[in-house]
Amino acid sequence: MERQLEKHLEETCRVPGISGALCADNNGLCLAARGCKPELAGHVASIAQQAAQLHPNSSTTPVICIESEGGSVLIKSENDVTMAIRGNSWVALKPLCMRRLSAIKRAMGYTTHLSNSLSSLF
Amino acid sequence: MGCCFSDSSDKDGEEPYSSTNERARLLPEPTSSGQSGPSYNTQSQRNAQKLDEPSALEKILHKTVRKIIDVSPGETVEQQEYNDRAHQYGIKINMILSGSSKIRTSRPPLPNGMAAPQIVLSSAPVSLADIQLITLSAEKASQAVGKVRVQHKEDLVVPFGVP
Repeated sequence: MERQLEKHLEETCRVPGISGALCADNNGLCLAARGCKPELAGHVASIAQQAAQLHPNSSTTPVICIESEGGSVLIKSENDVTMAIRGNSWVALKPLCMRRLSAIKRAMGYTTHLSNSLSSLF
Repeated sequence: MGCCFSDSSDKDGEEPYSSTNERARLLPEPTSSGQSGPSYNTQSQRNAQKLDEPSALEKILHKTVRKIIDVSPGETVEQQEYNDRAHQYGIKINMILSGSSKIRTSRPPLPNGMAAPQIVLSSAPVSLADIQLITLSAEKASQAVGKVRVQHKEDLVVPFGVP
């Protein structure tokens, strides 16, 4: 019966840069999770509720972004459902991208120094 | 008595100098309260003030001496002695910090945080695309949860075949 919800999470996780998604209700029950621990549902719901108290008269719920070295987490609640998306940060992805870029360049026969842009390959 | 908020007038309404009551004042009220005392106490007050002036001055002087902290360079400390004292104090502090477990429990268990916060703080803020992504995702999740229906496949209560 939660097929549509799981399908929605799968589509969300396919977006480049997103490593996980979680959906929880307003009581902290994990409705669905992909790439995230279900135990985090309580924290996510609680953070969303606390942030909503900052502007109680606002017509829209706030978007919460928690940034760290390893990535960022976006949280938003809508109609008693809280959604959390975990994304990789560019800071964490940069070494990985640079290594992959250099491997691709070696495979294609490029011997120049490392470049910061993909456009140098084309 | 003597401060801004006090009311030196007696609320009971009795005379302050009555000697019949246990709450009667033994000493006259000070003139700083704004009320004038009886005339026969004025002269005695003046005499008392004259006698008390040198003692009051002495009291003020002693109080000032007690409260003043002399920061003038009195005794000089040699460089070598200063270094030795600093070293000894550092050893004592390290012994206290490493030895006592009470100090460890008094420290709040806060996380260590990030090694390089300037990297996160100097990075670009949340982009509009990310905000739109999470907003759209939350709306779709809400719609998906609203469409959750129980699929009735079989009865929960089944009658047993009782003849």
